[in-house]
Amino acid sequence: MHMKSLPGQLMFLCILLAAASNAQPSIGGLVLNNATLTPVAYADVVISGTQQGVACDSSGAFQLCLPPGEYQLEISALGYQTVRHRLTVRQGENAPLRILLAPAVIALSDAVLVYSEESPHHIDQWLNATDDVLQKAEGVAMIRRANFALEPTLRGLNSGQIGLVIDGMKIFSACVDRMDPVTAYVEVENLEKLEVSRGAFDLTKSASVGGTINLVTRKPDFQRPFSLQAESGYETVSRLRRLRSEVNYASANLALRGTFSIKSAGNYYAGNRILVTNSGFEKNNYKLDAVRKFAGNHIVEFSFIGDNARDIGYPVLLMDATRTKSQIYRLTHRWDSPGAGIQSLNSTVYYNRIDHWMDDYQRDVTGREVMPDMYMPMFGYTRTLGAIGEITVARGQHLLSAVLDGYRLSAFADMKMESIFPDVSDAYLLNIGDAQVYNLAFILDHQWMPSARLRVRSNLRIDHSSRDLRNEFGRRQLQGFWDNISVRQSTRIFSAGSFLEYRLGRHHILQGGLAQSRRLPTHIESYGFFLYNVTDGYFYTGNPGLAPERSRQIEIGFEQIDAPLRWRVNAYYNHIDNYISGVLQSDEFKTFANIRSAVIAGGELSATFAPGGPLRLSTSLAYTYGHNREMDEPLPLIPPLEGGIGLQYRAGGFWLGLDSRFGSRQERIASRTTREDETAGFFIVNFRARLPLAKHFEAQLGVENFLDQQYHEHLSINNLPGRGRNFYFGLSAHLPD
Amino acid sequence: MPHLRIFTLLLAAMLAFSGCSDNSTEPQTTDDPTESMVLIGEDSAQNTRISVYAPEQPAVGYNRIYVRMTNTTNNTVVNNGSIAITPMMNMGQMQHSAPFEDPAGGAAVDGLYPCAVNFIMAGMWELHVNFQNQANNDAGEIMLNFDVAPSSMVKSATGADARLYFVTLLQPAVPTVGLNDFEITVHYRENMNAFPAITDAAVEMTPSMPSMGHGSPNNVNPVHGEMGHYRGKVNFTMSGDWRIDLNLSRGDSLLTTSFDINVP
Repeated sequence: MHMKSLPGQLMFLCILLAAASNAQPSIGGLVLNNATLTPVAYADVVISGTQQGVACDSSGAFQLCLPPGEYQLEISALGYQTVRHRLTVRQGENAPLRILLAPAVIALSDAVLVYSEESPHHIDQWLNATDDVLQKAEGVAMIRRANFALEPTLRGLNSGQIGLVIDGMKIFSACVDRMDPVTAYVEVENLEKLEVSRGAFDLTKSASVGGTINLVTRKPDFQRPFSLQAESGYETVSRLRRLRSEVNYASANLALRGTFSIKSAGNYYAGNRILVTNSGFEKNNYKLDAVRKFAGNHIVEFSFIGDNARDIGYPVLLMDATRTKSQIYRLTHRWDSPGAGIQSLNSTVYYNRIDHWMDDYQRDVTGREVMPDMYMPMFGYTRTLGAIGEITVARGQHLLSAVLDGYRLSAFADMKMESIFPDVSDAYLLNIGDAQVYNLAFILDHQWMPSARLRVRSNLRIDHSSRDLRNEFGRRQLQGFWDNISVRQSTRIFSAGSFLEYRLGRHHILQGGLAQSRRLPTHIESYGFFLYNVTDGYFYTGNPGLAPERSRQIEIGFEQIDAPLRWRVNAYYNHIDNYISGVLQSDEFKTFANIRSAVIAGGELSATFAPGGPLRLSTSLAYTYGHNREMDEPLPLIPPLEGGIGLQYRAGGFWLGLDSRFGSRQERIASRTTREDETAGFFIVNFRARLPLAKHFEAQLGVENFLDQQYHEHLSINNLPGRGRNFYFGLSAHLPD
Repeated sequence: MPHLRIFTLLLAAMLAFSGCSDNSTEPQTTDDPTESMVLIGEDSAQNTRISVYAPEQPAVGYNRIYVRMTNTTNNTVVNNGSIAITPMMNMGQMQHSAPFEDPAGGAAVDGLYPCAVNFIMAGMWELHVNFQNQANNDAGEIMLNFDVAPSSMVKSATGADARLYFVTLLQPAVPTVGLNDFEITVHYRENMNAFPAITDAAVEMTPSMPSMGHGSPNNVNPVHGEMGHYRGKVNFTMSGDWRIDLNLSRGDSLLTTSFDINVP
């Protein structure tokens, strides 16, 4: 910041003020490199949420004078990770602070912050749903199948091509029709932040060709001894009623947090008051967390998420989800070293079980185009047991993390076919005949800082995967297609990427990366059977003999940081060989196959203007180009040029926001491989506000799609329209203030 | 203590392995293959006893039958005799035969002469067995009567050439989900006593689920092997009611027929 060059003057001013008023206590400190314990010169020390602060001198020392009270300091320096430190300033003498800064790591992921304390300027907690937060992340576009749990895509890639994890845990959808993306299990009040790593440069959480979305959940807060919050809300577009509550308790060494939410929505209206039938849902979600601190910097965390939904209408699919049940358990041990050398040791074990039921008993099946005169109740489950161990070591200019990440997935799905005619006997098949996937990955994440300007972060990842089908009926079904390929498969893949940042000055960073990554077929691509795809009207069958997708990618970027106007522009090119796609097998059937290659390219642009007052302006723009080289046509489900503009005004507890989201016309369609059609452009305007009412009370209100646009996005399956004008309001109460 | 534990483990492992070797002893098998068959009938003539066995009670369709020839003078099985069968259905005013297969190569295998009959109709059938007993140079004929149960394994259809054809389904006898062996025989009626095999037809097979309106991929059309047998592969993608449509041609289209199969 601009005060940096004025430490002496500020200290002088501080001493002068203290002498004059004799009321401002002074607090001093020392900023050190945590690996070498040597002073960090000229670090900035700023009071969070303000422009007030000082800079350290050449020996890492600083002095602040502040009125007594609670503060949070942000200590930042070029080449180091920013640290936040809470302190209480008392009248009289205050003990000197000792701040340890860790060398900065190249952020290979963007964070969309919701309840995070990392930056109070970015708090997105006024949003109603996790899907709204996802939609704000650059490069993320959402596939819409219903008014429920949209499925994220990243730079035009989806499903197994990107990693989708919760606190790093692998969770697999139980529905073979992808009705239950795992993003459904983290309600917005439990979302601390989204970590979106685009491209295959950060390989620590998944072996993907497109990147990883990590939903980082909120943990108990040791700073809040007791707090209670409850909110009730209503949305007009679907008559959605919502109730959320949260309790936090903390003692010196133990913190607990629990949340519960319940939602109920009817059919929603698209623009122009068009009712979309079969689109309601009911859902409840609870999360329990306990964190216990032990002597010697040991922390143990336990987390449980339970999610239950029922009667979820899927207007564009043949059936509706009648019930889903999800349970996600995690136990983590963390140890942060107080000294040099080994920085931290983290280990996590987790288990999750997802059950999903769907049927078409509420639909008229008589004479329909697909599977006429048949009801088709379906059930599916996944069980995932996994463990992650991570050690981080710092030495000199090197920071190295080694991760061991293993899991076992069991997946099953079946379908009954019940004719409406009593003389026709029932039919039955397995969509996934009890697939077992074992995956063990070893990842090295290395950062080298040869100078304060240059940082290079490299990832190396090896995955060993073995998979099989355990159900004999399922094996026979699949062998009807692949007589000469063993369903039992074992593969090893290697991925590597390197990304560098070069600081051109205090405010400008040049970025570039190269990666070569592999991704394994999903268990559905290997073993799925008779899966109806509404986008092309074919039944899909898995292929146990699929080769891994192989991606080579390059990325360049330029960023302006630490200034009122922050912006970033980047471009990428991703060439994928062995691209996994549906290939015509016979009249009604497609099988998954490796096609020659596909190309995804594009770029993102984002800018935030925060002059320091109550106003903040942000904008983003993303373009994705996808081409299927085998078929010489565009790839399906590629978003057009899309973006958003947001204006926020904050003053005290009062908050106003005006934002828009828009997409251009998409004419590049996959007309040979799917039934995609062209999509018109759209422009949506939303208005949101939060205002404190009385002590303990706050109101949230807003209107989404204010212009009541009748539209659908290119990623809306079967052109399911987006939601029409939606007025929402909520009232929340909290204890203490 | 650790030594004791290791010793215990070793002992347990040895016991486990010795248990395995005990279990690997196969139960004593009998040499007589007729023990698992049913005796259809038996009669004697010229110091020769003719016993007719089948894997199960005869039913409409392709039936394997096995004939045993025994020299009644010394009660020894005759392996180097010869057998010729003639199935016959006596319907009062008229009688007719059915497609059948005499022992290939003539000789007995394990003391049994393998034959086959495509019973084309349910009811009381006669089986005439002509034999030549090389052991005592006797020859003769016996006749057995037995009941043939109904089934839907044989389809008759009039071909484009106005002849009557019989298509018999052999496989899958026990259909399962996935890829199944598919086998049919094709015969036509030359006259009431002669039902020769068709050996040069092209067969197009199309399985489907009529209740769903869809079929299955990866099927292999049956092609002729020997004696009117056509073999291919049929893929049932799920359990339920299936129909297999067959289109036979000999240059020109000959006939179409179908079989209904329930896949459990």
